[in-house]
Amino acid sequence: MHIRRDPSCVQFLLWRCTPDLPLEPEELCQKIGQSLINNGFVDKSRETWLLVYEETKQHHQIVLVPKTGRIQVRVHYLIPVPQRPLVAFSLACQLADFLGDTHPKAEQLR
Amino acid sequence: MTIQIKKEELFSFLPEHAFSFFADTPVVYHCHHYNLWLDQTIDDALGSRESVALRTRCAHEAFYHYLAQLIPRTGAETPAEKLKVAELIFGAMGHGTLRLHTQAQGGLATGDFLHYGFTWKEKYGEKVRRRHTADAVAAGCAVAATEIAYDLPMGTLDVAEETCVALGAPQCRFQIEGAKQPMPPSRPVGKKETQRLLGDSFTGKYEDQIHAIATGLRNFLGTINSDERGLVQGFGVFVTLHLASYYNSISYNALYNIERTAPQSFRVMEELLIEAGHQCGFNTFGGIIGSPEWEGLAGAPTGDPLEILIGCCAIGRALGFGQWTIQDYTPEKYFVLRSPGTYESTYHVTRHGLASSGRCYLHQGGTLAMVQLAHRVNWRDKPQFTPELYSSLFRGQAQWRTEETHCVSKGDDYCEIVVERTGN
Amino acid sequence: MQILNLPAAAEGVPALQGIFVITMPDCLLFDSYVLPVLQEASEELSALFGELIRNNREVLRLMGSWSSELQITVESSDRLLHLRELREDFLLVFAFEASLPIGMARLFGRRISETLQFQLEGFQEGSLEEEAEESPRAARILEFLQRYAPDPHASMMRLALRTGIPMEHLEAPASLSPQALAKVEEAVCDILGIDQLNV
Repeated sequence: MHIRRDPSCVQFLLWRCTPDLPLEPEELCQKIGQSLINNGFVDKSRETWLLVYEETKQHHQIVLVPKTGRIQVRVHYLIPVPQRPLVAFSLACQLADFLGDTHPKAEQLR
Repeated sequence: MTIQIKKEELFSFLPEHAFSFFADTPVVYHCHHYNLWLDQTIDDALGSRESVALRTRCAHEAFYHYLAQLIPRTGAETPAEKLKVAELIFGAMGHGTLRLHTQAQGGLATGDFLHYGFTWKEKYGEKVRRRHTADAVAAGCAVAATEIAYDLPMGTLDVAEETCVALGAPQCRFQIEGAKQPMPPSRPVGKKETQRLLGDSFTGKYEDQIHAIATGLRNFLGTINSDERGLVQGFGVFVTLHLASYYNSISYNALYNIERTAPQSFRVMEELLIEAGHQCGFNTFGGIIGSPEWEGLAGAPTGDPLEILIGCCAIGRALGFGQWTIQDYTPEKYFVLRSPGTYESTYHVTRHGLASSGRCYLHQGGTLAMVQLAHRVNWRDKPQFTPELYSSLFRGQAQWRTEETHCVSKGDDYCEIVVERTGN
Repeated sequence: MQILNLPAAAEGVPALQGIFVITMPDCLLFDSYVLPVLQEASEELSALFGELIRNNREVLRLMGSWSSELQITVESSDRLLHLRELREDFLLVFAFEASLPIGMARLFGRRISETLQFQLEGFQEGSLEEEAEESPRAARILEFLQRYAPDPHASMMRLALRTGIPMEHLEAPASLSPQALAKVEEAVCDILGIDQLNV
């Protein structure tokens, strides 16, 4: 699993996770989605082409694009800026665990 | 009586002109970059004291006309119900949490996570120290809502923001009391006034693609709700559904004030208004195109400049900026964006009459941003929309010149922006 | 190689172990007058001293504090270091014995830097003697603004709008009248949210 900052003009809120596992986009999203639900995330999706799962305590989100397999971690804006990379990294660790993927490598945490 | 805010019934859209209305009031989506920059430009033009006064007065007027249209359609009857509607609608538009503890004589309002103060702190808080309050929009809404709730004429009350999170306070607080000076009466620039000015619409190149993306995006925007703090986060930016009249009245009032008092600064003020549009286009349009939402809806950007221009055109329409059409495009050289009218020009003609030159500053800056996004951003590298990337646009030889060749504000049938390459 | 007359500047200053003159922002050793024990690491020290001042400036910026010519004093068991910026383009570092009171170190540092200021005038970037004669303060204020304004690409336009002074006049700061300069100074303070400029 690799994690790097995703396009965002708000500091350190959005992160892109790319798994090492060679899974097809739909299969990848299905696997992650199911694992997130099993681990207490709430499905907040409004469209089939964009899956959104929200963690109930601090409201961080995992966003999945079934068409392309893109995974985005959205740290909640109430988290202070210096802590945001660490929160994103810990969410990426969870995703890697769900997939049985390698431990996340940060490409651009700061 | 139960309060009912039926979004679907209150929202209307003119598809041929891509204008949006809520309770027959022109509304547009804008991000915090644009909102903060525009307010800052008014501060620069008038100084902070006069700027806060002007921005508060414009928000007061815009929200008064808006709530006067909206509240009777919600079933609210008592002052408490009417105040509640104002609080709910303010949060639903992404402006934050406003609490109104007011009577007919005035009183106190409080604000938490107000869009302007909160996002100013997020964007600039670590860089500069602010010395004046940030939430003129919330202040204007609070005083207007109180007047509407108690059936008072506009301008009966006045408001001052006494504490502000952007100045380090834990909460924003507004004191509302009887006005010492009367407010000049004004008529709303609503749906009717806008429609009266609109001529025939038209299409341009790549219409099918633009229309399809704009429709999908607009439908998706309709499903986005504010969170429990009244903030809307989308595409990596904080978004507001805002009253077009607020933007227009602060811009043109300040601009014409400068024309009277410091005519030598008129052009530089125009440049800064255009820069507000450039910030909006670059950050919001760029954020949208780089987002998972876009990837799901339109596919990941391939880096083809034309694809970016088509996408930006669709975004402009979906945000309610007008029927943006592509009339001409030569890669790396020339781009022409035309619209049968913009939310700026229709307002300008209604309120200020005809101008001697174009007055669509958001439109100009936004078009320049489209060209920059198409030609200066390497989409394959999944770019970060950082201040550094933004600053890099202004370095180097290759630049673009923007001109508003036609504008409804100066009597033309349409508004047209031409962007041409200068240098190598 | 001795470029400046550092021995003369250091004459009569007790407990002084060395002076480093470092160019900024490139952090290169420009000249030095130091005990042999410090001589060998002079180049490396220059780079580190430059980083030290740069990091401290960043800390101050994040905390909303401002200073045009920053000073830092570092105490260790065997040495007292005093760093102070001189103009935009030089950093002076004085190494004293640890026994010297901090106040004295600052006082001597200031005295030596005043002496060196004269010597360094001939070494202004691009030999900007003309600018120095005309209006160095105006130019420095504008540089300060562009260095710290949140959106530097637009800072001159913002300044023009705030002051009512046309851009072409701001682009030639030497031509600004004292009244115009006062307006510029006030506007820069407003843009940066600071009470006064120590430029």
